[in-house]
Amino acid sequence: MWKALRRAQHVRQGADPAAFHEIVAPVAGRLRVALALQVAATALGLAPFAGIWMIAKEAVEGAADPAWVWGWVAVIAGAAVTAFAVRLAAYTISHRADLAIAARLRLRIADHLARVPLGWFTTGAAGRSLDALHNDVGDLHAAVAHGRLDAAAGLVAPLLALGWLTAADWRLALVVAVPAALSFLLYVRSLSGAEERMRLVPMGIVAVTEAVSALARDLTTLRVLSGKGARPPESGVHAAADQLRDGLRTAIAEQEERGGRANALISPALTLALVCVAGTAFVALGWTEPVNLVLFLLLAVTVSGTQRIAESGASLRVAYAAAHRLRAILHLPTLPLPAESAALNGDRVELRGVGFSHEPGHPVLHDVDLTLEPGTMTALVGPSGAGKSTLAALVARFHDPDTGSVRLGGVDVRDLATADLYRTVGFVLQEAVLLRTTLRDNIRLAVPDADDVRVAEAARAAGVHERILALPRGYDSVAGDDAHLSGGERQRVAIARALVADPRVLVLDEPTAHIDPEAEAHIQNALSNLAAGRTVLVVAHRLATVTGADQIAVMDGGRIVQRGRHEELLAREGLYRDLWRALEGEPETTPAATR
Amino acid sequence: MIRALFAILDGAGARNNRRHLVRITVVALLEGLSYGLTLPVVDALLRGDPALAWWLTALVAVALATMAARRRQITGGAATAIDTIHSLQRRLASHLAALPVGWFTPTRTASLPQTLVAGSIAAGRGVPYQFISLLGGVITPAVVLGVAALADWRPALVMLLSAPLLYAVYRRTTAALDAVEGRTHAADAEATARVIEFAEAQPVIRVCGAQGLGRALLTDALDGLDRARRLDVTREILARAGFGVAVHLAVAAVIAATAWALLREPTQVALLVALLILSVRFAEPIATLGDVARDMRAGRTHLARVGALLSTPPLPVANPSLPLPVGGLDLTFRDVAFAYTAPASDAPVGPPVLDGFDLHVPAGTTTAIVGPSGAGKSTVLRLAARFADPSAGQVLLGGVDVRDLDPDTLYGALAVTLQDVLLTEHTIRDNILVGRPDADQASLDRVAALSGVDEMINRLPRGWDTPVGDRGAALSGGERQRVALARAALQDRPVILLDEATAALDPVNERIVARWIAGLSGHATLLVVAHQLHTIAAADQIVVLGDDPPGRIAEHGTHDELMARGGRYARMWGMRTAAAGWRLNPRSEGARS
Repeated sequence: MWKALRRAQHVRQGADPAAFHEIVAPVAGRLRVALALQVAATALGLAPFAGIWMIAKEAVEGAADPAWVWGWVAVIAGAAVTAFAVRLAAYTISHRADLAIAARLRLRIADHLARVPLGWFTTGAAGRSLDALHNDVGDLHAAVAHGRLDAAAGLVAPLLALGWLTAADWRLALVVAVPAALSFLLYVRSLSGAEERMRLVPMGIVAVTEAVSALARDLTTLRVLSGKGARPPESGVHAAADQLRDGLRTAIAEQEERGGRANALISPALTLALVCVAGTAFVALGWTEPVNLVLFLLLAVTVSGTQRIAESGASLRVAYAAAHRLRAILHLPTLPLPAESAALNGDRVELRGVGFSHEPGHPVLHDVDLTLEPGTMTALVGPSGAGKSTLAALVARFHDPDTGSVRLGGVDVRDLATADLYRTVGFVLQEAVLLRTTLRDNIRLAVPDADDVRVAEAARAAGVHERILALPRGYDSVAGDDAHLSGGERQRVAIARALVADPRVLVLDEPTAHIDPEAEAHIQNALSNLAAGRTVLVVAHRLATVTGADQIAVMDGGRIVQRGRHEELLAREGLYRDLWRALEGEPETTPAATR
Repeated sequence: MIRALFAILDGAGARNNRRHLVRITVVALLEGLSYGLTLPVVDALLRGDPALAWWLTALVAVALATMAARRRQITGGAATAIDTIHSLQRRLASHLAALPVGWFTPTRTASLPQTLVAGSIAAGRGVPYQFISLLGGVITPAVVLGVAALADWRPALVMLLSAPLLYAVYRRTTAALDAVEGRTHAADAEATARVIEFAEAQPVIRVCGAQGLGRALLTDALDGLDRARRLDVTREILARAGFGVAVHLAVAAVIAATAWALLREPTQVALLVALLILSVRFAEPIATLGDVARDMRAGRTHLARVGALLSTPPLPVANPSLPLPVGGLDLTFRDVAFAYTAPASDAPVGPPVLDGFDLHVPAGTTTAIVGPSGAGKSTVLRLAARFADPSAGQVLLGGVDVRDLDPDTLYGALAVTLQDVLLTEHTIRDNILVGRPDADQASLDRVAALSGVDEMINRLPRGWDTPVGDRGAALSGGERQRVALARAALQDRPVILLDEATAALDPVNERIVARWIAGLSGHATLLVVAHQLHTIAAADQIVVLGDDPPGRIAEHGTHDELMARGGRYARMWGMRTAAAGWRLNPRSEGARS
């Protein structure tokens, strides 16, 4: 129960034996070898009992010959050490198999994630699945490295011991076998029957975990909202701790009721007392020889060792649940990739009749047509929820459209290999993501062989060169370790990265959304440098940002409702002019910035 | 481990666990005794001694007593574990709730659930489920040894001699495992972090080429983990092999000693045969010690984390608390300095964020703080809300140092809307009502109109009952800020602290904030950190914080005074109205790298 509790921290519902067997298939052969060794070790492990029995028997019958006795002492020592060594070999093989599985699984997951639509990563689902990843791989360990071996030992040793005892005296063997069998049945029943209640324990643990996260996250808020009648910040965790306590009490009461009885039946003290009493009675009745009692006292406790089978069953169930969640990640739908990548003809981007929905029945884009002419800048504007970011994400193939197509250089992006697509299309998103590696490698991520001159040039154009040089280790500083950059600085590193990658088509999704206005001014030049000479699609909150665009597409409710240049749109009745008046004040015919 | 455990238990918990240690000891003693009693039983049986009946009776009695004691130990163990887990979790939660807000850095917050859950479970399991094997592995063999000594001193002497030897092997092997554990742990953390990074940075990694540096970072970490784990397994197997072989050889030695005695004294056959059986019972409990070691090592790590958490000092609470004056409250910063301190010590880290900061906000007036990022604007508000205490100087509310107010009095006078003040309740209505649970619909409508929530209510299909999602995730940054503004307005407190959200910097929200400030000025004392100058042009007082040196007031006055002065504020205003955010002019600069 307590082993289960320790693992239960990550157990939720759902178990899948098929998924488990699929995951361990590559090492199935090795695991079979380990199993065979374990069976051999278990059998050999009984040899010392045989040795003691032989010595005792000879001694009692009064014929103890020194050579015989010392020979068996040697057998006892040799067999014990050999059995132990073989068992270790079995566990070594199973542990190595477990390592191989874990390493393989992590790589398989990484390779799979590299083909999942990028849109999946931008939703919260990704974080939750991946948080579990580490523990789930760990949960497989108990089953792969220990589970079946423990079960084999738990099965083979009692059966062999019982067989031997039966051969020696079947009536006394029956006295030993009945409580062991009864206990096993009780124990299995206690495990299977209690599952419903046992679930209260992991549920309680999840509740505490969530309540602690909520406490840490909301403490500021709860503290400032405190006062008369407000709930104290710790009340959530207290309630969850109470829930866990009640769950534990219920689960354990059940477990004690049934499992406790099972345990009592096979406690070594009782088994030995039983053998002594029954044995004495049998001797008095003339059913058995006194010396046989020696054999029974040696082996009876081994017969009662069947609990391990049931215990390893529990570890298998934990592994099945983990395998189930791992398979869910491995079965995430991937972007269909073409067998052969088509050749691009130029870099015009055309969206034709594009429709898209995140959830079936709730379309966010309807029948959108839009062309990005090479070397021009197109802006997407409109109220929030109009579908601007979604449309931009389709161009970068974060998702595939439900209807219509996105074409690049005349080719549907679905017919392009990932590498070919992203050689042409780059993006800078709302929040810059830096990898925990040197700033140099972060900047040359797309071109790993770019030299320092090219890296520094890009950083200078992005306005972050001086800042990087001011760090103690300059370009060798590791982002997040010894380079603590502000949001604006990180965004400039991302811009430098895009400059090195040098894509012909660039998607900018409100790249200053999370940056305060002071820093925003610094990024303006960097972005303008990046956009120069490329085909640009930019999503903007602030209309003034994009007055210089070659084409402005005004979106509302998932459709493009107006398009044209700033001056044209401002001159016409419509959403753009309404937005401009509402957001930027009086109509402005000449943008402040020069063109 | 026992020391680490008792260090984090309170009085009742320590008593419970000590009582349980006694139960475990009793069971282990009785168990050893019942094993020991098989010796005279076998001896009497083989010799046909009439004392057999007495010995049998004694054996049955002790076996039954063992079972009864074990029964008590099992129920008592469960109760002890549950109580220990439960009370430790509650204590840790109360302790966390009293820590300074500044303590909750992302790294610390991320490991909290694990510390609390795994730590409390490790504490609960400690005595009932780990010491049971440990004590059983020591006490039971000791009793067996005692009984053996009464029968024949020679095998007993071998047992006695093997004990320190086995202990030495045990210590050596566990120490070797402790040494590699740290490295494996680090490799494990690194690999996990890289897998998560690989997923979170997937857009960047994919656009930069799937086979490039991004993937190499992950595969290197996974290889490192694999190497560390292989080493760990090898060490573990070797350690187990060492201890296991030692135990088996010790048993063989006991058997050899018994056999030797048997060959020399054939008259003692019955007793010595019984001793042979007993030698098996001597070894079994010792062999389980190897399994306990690994479990205990993990438990010790968890307990150490809990211990460290419990020894973090909470934010000091005033004793006795002073009352606040009745009526409007002014807010004064007197020569305030603030610097971040290192987590382990109180040594300041980096330059001070504020230094010699003086500010008076008269009751019922509005003061705005502006300045570049990193100038310490948000810190001023955080000190006023007592999320941290200044390293020098005083923050006075209504003339009383905020450190002399108990939290209920302080927060009863403040309405706070900072960037990290979040939406915690289920619906929009609940999140606003939490400010004043007894407010009527008319008051709700009034604050909704003031804060721009009315527009959301009309637009969203479920209106007031729209769920805000986890931490308000279902709303945009601007919408979350509007709900927070409505909540603060509903609270109707004498002092309001507002930090504009940077995630809400679109023109619509800017106007709402300006309208909200105008609506509340004169009714309360307002201290506002502004990122957009337009929102605070009407403030009674504007304070410009400089960044060179940081944390000092560069200039202050009203909007008109500062504009007339032509200083830093005037320059910021000019830049802002001209640029109105960033502007993309791809052709204005021809540079393309």
